[in-house]
Formats: sequence, structure tokens, C-alpha cells
Amino acid sequence: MKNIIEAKHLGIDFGDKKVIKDLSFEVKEGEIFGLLGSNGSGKTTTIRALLGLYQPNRGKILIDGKIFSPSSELVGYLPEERGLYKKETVIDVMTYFGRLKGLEHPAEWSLKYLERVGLFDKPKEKIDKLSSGQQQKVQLGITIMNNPKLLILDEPTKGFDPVNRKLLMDIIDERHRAGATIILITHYMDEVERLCDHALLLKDGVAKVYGTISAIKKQFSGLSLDEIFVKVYGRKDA
Amino acid sequence: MLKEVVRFEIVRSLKKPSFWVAAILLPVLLIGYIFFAGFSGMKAEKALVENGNLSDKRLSLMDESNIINASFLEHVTTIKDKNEGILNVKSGAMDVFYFVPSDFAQPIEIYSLNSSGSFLTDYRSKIDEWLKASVVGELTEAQAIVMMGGYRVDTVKFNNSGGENDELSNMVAPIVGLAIFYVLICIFGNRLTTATIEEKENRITEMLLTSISAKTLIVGKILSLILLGFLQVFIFVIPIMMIWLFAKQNQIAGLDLSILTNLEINPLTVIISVILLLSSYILFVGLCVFVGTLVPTAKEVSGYSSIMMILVIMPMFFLSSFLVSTPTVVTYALSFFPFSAPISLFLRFAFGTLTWWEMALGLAIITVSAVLIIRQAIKVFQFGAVGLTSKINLKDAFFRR
Repeated sequence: MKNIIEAKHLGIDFGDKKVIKDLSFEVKEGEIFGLLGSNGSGKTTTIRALLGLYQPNRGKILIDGKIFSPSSELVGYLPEERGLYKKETVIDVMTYFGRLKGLEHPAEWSLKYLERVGLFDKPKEKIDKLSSGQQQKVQLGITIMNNPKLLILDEPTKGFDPVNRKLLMDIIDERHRAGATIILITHYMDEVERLCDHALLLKDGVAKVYGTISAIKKQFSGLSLDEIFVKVYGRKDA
Repeated sequence: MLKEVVRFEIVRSLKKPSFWVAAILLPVLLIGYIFFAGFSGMKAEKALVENGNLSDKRLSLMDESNIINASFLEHVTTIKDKNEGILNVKSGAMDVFYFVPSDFAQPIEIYSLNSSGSFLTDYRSKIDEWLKASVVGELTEAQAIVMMGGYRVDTVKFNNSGGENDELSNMVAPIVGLAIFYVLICIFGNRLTTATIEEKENRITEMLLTSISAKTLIVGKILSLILLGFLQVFIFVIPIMMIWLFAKQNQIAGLDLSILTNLEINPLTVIISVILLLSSYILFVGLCVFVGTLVPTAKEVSGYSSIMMILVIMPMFFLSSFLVSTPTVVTYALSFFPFSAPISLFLRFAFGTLTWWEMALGLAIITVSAVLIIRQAIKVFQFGAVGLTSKINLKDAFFRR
């Protein structure tokens, strides 16, 4: 299978600080890839470099063999920093993003999605009147609305109750089965173990652990990912 | 993509009641003011005429100079003793008592009761009229005309380009342009500076930038803000044009709009004012957007926007320098400093102290500055788009590659 993402000796500095030191990894088309690490380990910086929001100081990071440029079909990104146009209605915001992503009937798609995630009565509601969980559902809808080839989901289920967490994981799984490649950034190691094909554990801007889930577990004598995470970071840092 | 950004930004602005309140309130206030000023002016004038009509007043006079002609004294009670005249007024037996001294080194004295409306009563003009008319018979016709102020004066002024300067007509377009520019910066200043912050503050930038480039996003925002400004101008200008046309074709009872109807506006001044207004507004939009790109939240923008507004309205602090016919170093400096140039050029254009080459140079400075500042704003927005918590310093804003 071909690589959809390729990072080679990636290095990103913020002033004198080397946030990403020397990072190389590949993500194959159609797989679910776990990007793991504690807060400040460089996960978001790596993703921002992938999306062209930061310019690498060293090395390169490519999507589909090219440096990323905004496109309506390629990438759906649910960032860790959540937000929407607070004073606009749900349907207006979703329709706007749908148009930007090249959807032909964004309003119709949005209404169907809202019904599915239990927000059928909210299209005319202003975003700031929704709970944070409801806003998160709207954001996930915006992320997946154009069936992107690559989905980057940063903590997609953070703060959800088990019912809604399962609902969203089902939607993500559905996108995967439809052929999308997914990069999952999460602190829920059970999700990684259950869903991911490969994982990469970042610490201080370098890959401390990288490989298939089974290879990683084998490398750490059958420890669970939770235990591996603690072992890599040490109890104090984790 | 650009079209979608512009459409979204315009539609959501038009949906906000605050936009329409700001857009309509000013023209409504302006129309209200014109009518109120017109009617109250006429009312006051009528009151002045009514109170100033002395034919139904009881007038008394003591003329020690013997200048006032007897024919003017038919309806006046002549008094021999000054104190008696004063007492008559105090007691209400007379409304007014005039005392004309024999020696004009001494003042003419007028005594009247401080009754309601008396401040509008023009007792002074009556004695002026009697005195002048009494002596005018002794003069030649020319001397009489001079003394009575019956001569006409036609003033011709030349502007700095050597052309004839029809002051009022030439002033209208630049003053209206200046008013519109001022209204735009007051109404849109805050909105313009916060427009690019919204996405950063609400954490939307990263999601947007996977679908559109930062450049498309900011250019779309800038275009929408410019179009909204034009709409505001349209809403502002239409009532003014309607009043002007209506006043030209109709007489409104009790309203003297001759100052409007007699105006012959030079189309060239209108065209230049429109070009100056457009380029100035685009420069202002660029400046506001640039300031907005430097900071992560709307709260932090106030420090920068205060400095920006001071730079833009600085010519107002030196207004007296613009009123003199010969431009000073200050007016030159303000005219050719990009941010203060718009208001300076409007003022100098209105007062006829601007040569054509100065206007051309000023317009060129404004236009080039607008292009440069918008380019810089786009660049800063691109690299600062995901700086969700940190300010961008000016060194980075201008010199970062």
C-alpha cells in the first residue's frame, strides 16, 4: 500500500527551542495511525507542519508525495483547539464549511448528520447556545462532511460520555471502512489498541516508540500501551 | 472559495441588527437635524420678527442731539426728563425708552423691561435706523448708499492652482467625502480590527485552513469589509441625494433650503473626492486588518487601535493649520504621511489649498500604502494564523521571511 504521509528527518524550531528534533515516519493509505505523546511532546506541531501551518526548519513532511496545500477533498482536520463561529447558527456554520469543502448540498448533508448525532432540533440554534459536547459533534461533522481521504482527529472523544463516545467512534470507523486514512491523536490507549494499525509515541520531539501495535507490544514484552506510555515517560512526566 | 468567504462575511454582517442600527441611524439623525434646524430656525426668525416689530410697542424718546427727524417721532412719546423716561419703563407705562445724548462720545441708552421674549426684540436696530435715515437726506446719493450699506460685493478667490475658486460649491464634495470617511472609520474601525481576530480567538483557523489558504481567507474578509463599507456609504449618501433633489424641485413650507438648491457642484470635485474616499477607506481597512493580525484576542487590540486612530485623525488636532490659505510645514507633513493623508487631503481640498500635483502625490501615497499594508497584513496573517495565544511583534511583522 502506498504512503499517504511521509516525514523525513523533520525538524521544527521555535526560536532557540527545538520542538521537533529529528522525526521520520510513514502512514500508509487506509490505515489508522495513532500519534501519541504527553502534552507538549510535539504532536500538534507535527500536524501543523503536515498542514503547512508551520514551515519545517529541517527535513520534510509530505501528504500524497507533496507539500500540503489547502484542498477541498484531501484532508479533514479536527484540531485540539476547538471552536466555531459562536454567534452564528449551527446550520449556517456547517453550510459555510460545506461550501468551502466543495459540497453540492451542504445544508441537506448537515441536517442528516445532525439528526444522526441527536442534534435534529439544533440547526437554527446559535453555536454558543450548545453544550461543549454538542459543539464537538458539530465540529466532527464539519471535519468529515466531504469524505476526506485523510482524517486527522486530535482528541475526538475528549470529554464525551460513553454513549456519545461510542457514537463518534462508530462514525470514525465508518469513514475508515469507506477508505479514509485516519491519524488519531488521543490519550485513550484502549482506543489506540483497539483501532490503530501503527502508532508513534513522541517524547521531546523525537519518536521514542514507532511501529505496528503488535510489534510495539512485543518490543515491550507484552505490556499494554498504557504501561508502555508510563514506562517511556516515567511516572513523573506521564 | 473567495466568493464563499465574501458571501458568508457579508450575509452574517447584514443579519446583525447592530449593522443596520449603525447604518440607518446616522442618515436618520442627519435628516432629522436638517429638518429640526430648518424649522426651529424659521420659528426663531418668526419670533424675532414678531417681537422685533415695534409698531405695537409703546416707545418713548429723549433726543438731546436733535438729530432725529421729526417725521420718525409720530408714534413715539417724547420725554423731556431722562429720569421720567426710565421710571415710565420701570412702572410699565412704556415698553422702551431711548436716550440720545447731545455728545456722541457718550453712549445712546436704551431702557426696556426684561419680559418674556424681550431678548429677541431688536430695539437697537430701531434707533440705528432712525439716526441713519435722519442724516441721510443731507448726503449725496453715493454717500447715502455707502452709509446705509446698500452696496453689493462680489468676491472672486483663486485656488493654489490658479483656477477660480467657488468656495461653497467646491467645498461640498470633499466635506461630504470627509464626513463619510469619518463615519466609516467610526462605525467600522472596531469591526475591521476584530474581523481577523475572530477566527484565532474562536479557534477556527486551523479547521478553515485545511480547506482554504490563509490568503484566500483574509482577502475574502478584506473584500467583504470593503463592500460593506460601500453599502454603508450608499445608505448614507442616498438620503442626502434625495433631500437635495427634493429641495431642488419642491418648496417645503417654512423651510429655507436655498443653500442646498443653489449649489452647483463641480463633477470633477465629486470624482476626485470619490477616488480619495475609496483609496482612503481601503488604506484604513488594510491598516485595521494588519493591526488585527498582530494580536491573538480582541481585548489586546485596543492598544494598537488607539495609536492607529490617533494617526488617522491627527489632522483634526491641527485643524487651524488647514484653515489658513498658505499651507504650513505641518499641513504638508500630514498630507503626505500615509495614515494622516486621507483627512488632510480632504480638508485641504475642501478649503482650496491643494494643488493638483499635491492631490496626485497624496493619492499615490495613499494607494501605494494601501497595497503595501494589505500585502503585509496577508503575510502576517499567514504566519500568525495559528498563533492562538501570542502577540506578533512589529519586527516579526515586517521583517520575518
